[in-house]
Amino acid sequence: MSKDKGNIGEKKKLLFPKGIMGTGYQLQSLGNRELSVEGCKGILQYEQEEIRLNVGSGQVKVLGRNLSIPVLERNYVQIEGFIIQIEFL
Amino acid sequence: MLLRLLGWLFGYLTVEVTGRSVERFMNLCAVQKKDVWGFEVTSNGISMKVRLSDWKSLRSLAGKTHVKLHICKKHGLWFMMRPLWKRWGLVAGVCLFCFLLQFLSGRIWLIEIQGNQQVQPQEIKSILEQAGIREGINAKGADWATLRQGILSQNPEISWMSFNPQGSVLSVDISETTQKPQINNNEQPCNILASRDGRVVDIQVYTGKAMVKTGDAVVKGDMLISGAVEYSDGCTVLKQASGKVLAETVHKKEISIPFNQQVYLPNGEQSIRRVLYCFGLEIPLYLGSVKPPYEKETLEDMLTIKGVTLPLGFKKGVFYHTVETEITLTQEEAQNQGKEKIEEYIKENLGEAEIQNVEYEYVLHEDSVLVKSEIFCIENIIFHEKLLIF
Repeated sequence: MSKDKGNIGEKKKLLFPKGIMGTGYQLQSLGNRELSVEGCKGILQYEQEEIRLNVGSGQVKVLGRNLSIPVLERNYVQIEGFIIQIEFL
Repeated sequence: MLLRLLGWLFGYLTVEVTGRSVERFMNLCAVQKKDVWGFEVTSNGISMKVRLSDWKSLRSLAGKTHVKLHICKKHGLWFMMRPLWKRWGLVAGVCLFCFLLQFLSGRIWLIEIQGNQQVQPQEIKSILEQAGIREGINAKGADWATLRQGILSQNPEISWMSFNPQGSVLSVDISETTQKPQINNNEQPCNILASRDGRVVDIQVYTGKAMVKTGDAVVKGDMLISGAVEYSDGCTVLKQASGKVLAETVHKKEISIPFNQQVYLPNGEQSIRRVLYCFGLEIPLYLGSVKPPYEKETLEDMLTIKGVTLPLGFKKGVFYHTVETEITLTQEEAQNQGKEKIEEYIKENLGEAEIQNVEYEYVLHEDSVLVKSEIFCIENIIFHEKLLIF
């Protein structure tokens, strides 16, 4: 009986969403035209075809065409344009 | 949409940022919560939009990060209006408009009086004017409670009053005092006698003993209510009689109207004097005065919006010049004039009486007509006579 209880507790622990404590970052894309990054620590590189973002635990590189940043706030950035590739470095 | 509108109202700039540390500049803007948005890559660096209020602080950030800022375009109402600043007349007009709007909206321009039944609105207005409440006073600076107390203490005919200023309209609610019956504290014993001949139609005795009853005919001097009250035990007490005795009476009035009269008649000429009435201020639009004799008629042409009369408009005084003329009346005209004079007499002297009927009789003389009238009315015919005790 006690082993079963332990298994259930372990399963619940695994289902707990990651990044809920605010340490991670979250990407949300609207097709390949818009990308919102929550938890962004800053912009490392900004060009028309490439944007590199500091996300704390690493970097996110967004490749595309005519990339622009309509919204830039603390811990949040929104990228618009024709997104071709997203890399996690 | 609302944010865009606010941005347009307060103004914003499109700025080009050039230099090596553009990204660092962007990060600093985000960290320091500057109102910047719309980053786009240009041939020299990046362009972005910044709220006008944050522009000065951005320049210090630019100094820190060694980037250069260049204003590309100015947006918003502020910049649209900027060329108009040189047109001082327009600017002065707008400033004057704003000042007048602010100044005039804080003042009372319409006084509405409610709740009066006996006291005429004009009378109340004059009372208010005496207390300093008139069109044009500052609504915020007025001490309504003190004004109210002052008016109530000086005008016993008003028992209650409240001022409700709503915008530029002052609503004055009043309650009139119900006149308390006059109580004669003089305990001098007296009787009530008849002041005229007549037939009693109603008798109300408050104190004393009725000496007549309804339907009795009385002549002047008859005792109506006695002040000597005799009780069942034989004891007699002298009191001050009081009561009301209504009787049918007849008044006679004669007026002689001559056929030839000197009167002032309009000679056809008239002078008009206009006055601009502007928020309590009367500005005469004429020079000189009108020489008498004349008959004056005052006309008001005030601005009215949706049934509300505003204190703005013209007051016109029409002076009809008259000349002294001798006229000869016909018999009918003289009779009518006599009737009118008798009606005036009734209004002046028999105001409290209930007029039942008026009969006229005309006696024609050589140079005049004598109008005889008999006025039948119902009136209170009492008068007090002190009891003489020997």
